[in-house]
Amino acid sequence: MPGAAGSQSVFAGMARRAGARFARNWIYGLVPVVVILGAWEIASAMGAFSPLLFPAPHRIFAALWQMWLEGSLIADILGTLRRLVIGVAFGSVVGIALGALMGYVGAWERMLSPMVNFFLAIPGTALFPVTMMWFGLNEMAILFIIVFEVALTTIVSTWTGVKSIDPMTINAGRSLGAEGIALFWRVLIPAALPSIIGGLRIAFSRAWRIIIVAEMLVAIGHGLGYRLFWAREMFMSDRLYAGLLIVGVVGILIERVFLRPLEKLTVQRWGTVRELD
Amino acid sequence: MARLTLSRIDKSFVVANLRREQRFHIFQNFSIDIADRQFVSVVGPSGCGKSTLLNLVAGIEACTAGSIAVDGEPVRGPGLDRGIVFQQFALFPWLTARDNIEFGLRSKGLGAAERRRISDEHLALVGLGDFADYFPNRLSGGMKQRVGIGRALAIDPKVLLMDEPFGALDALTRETMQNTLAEIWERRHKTVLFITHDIREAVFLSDRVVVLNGRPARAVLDVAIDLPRPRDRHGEAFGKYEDLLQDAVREVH
Ligand SMILES: Nc1ncnc2c1ncn2[C@@H]1O[C@H](COP(=O)(O)OP(=O)(O)O)[C@@H](O)[C@H]1O
Ligand SMILES: [Mg+2]
Repeated sequence: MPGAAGSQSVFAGMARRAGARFARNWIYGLVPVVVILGAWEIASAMGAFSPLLFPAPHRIFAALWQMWLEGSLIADILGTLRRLVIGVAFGSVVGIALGALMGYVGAWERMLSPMVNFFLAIPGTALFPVTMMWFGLNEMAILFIIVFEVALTTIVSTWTGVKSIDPMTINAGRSLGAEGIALFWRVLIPAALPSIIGGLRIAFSRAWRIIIVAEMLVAIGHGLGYRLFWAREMFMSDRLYAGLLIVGVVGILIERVFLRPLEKLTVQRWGTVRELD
Repeated sequence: MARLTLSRIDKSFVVANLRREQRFHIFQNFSIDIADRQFVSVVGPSGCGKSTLLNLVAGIEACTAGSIAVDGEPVRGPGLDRGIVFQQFALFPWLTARDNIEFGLRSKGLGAAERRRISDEHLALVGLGDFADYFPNRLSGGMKQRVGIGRALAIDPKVLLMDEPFGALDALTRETMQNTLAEIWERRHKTVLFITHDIREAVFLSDRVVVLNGRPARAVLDVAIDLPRPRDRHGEAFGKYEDLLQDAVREVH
């Protein structure tokens, strides 16, 4: 057994290496961004682009700063994130429950799989005319579509995840007294978690795209999609690009702040997925 | 008391290929009685039905006919009166060694303090006191199976079922684990149904060894191992039992 001091230095070393890897990844990732922005800025300064169609990067950042000062930026981000969280929460609860039933009980699989395949063929956005008709131009019209898409995505990943569980793991659980709902919580869900997290990852990114489009179509009060729509209407191209920039950056942050740590705390710690250097 | 009785059981599988369905009778009118606190090993050639037998007792599979009972109580599915140790360990990778051992205790509805006391006791019993908080992926094969044994014993089952529990381990670890199991059994004198294809292992551990062979499988030999414990693998009498059993396993029925 290494002493306390020894293990501490081991952890410090691990943390240092992880930090170095993190910094290296970011620096590499930023290189092409800086190159493109630099070239764009120079080309704009030389008058190569129409300032209306391609405003210089510094103007886009100025617009961003302006939106921040006005307070609309943060309201839009929070508005969109709120829809995302509500949609993903409801959708994934429904999807994981149904997916686990389909993966474990043959009758449920036979009943639901034709319908799941049917709905998979329909793009969520194609349902907008329907939900707008049902609910009008409001919040529900957006949320319904997100719940639908997220549920469908997590159904498929949970279903395959549960079906791929080693039968011996399930036998172990059952022989140790876990049946029914206890088997679901204590065995099926944790055993299928690598696949469920994979599904959540896709669900988040799909939901994010759909919300942006939905906010443009439904065009209610606030939200990043609404802001893009509005910027085009006003022909404020710098704000349009600034909005797109934020949509992308927030998308990345969701992955870094929520999904990565979720993975680190669960499947990577248990060693049920491999961690790559 | 924990007596295990299999009376006149039938078990068949239907195997379908492209042209037709074929029914394989693995057991037909098979009976065996295992006395309280008896350590019984079942040996036999690969594919003769050893795992099927254990799965039937475990309640993981159902008999086509006949009945299985623990102390007269018929087996209708998996249950906490039977603890199972699996060849491939089948630990829960998302739980630490301690939480794996406490899994069945939670099913029993025991409180945190009681669970902790029992898991401490069983971690010590299987020699993993220092590894309570390790996840299975950080443990060696032998240590994993120690968790497996601790997990099965912690629920205090009437019968312990083990299906080639050391089959996935290297020769050296296997012998260590056999010694450990023999010591554990001295302290937790359970009724044991132990499946193996390793005859030395069976002779070393068991009160009684049953040789399964043929299709449908029959007990072609059923011998009491009358040797003092702890056993000497190199003794003369030990060797005689080995030879006797070896012949029964090899014989084509
Ligand atoms: N679920 C099943 N379906 C069809 N055949 C099976 C099934 N399980 C086992 N068998 C067959 O039953 C026979 C006995 O298997 P098993 O009990 O695993 O043998 P052993 O453990 O002695 O090697 C084998 O021929 C195997 O192919
Ligand atoms: Mg077998």
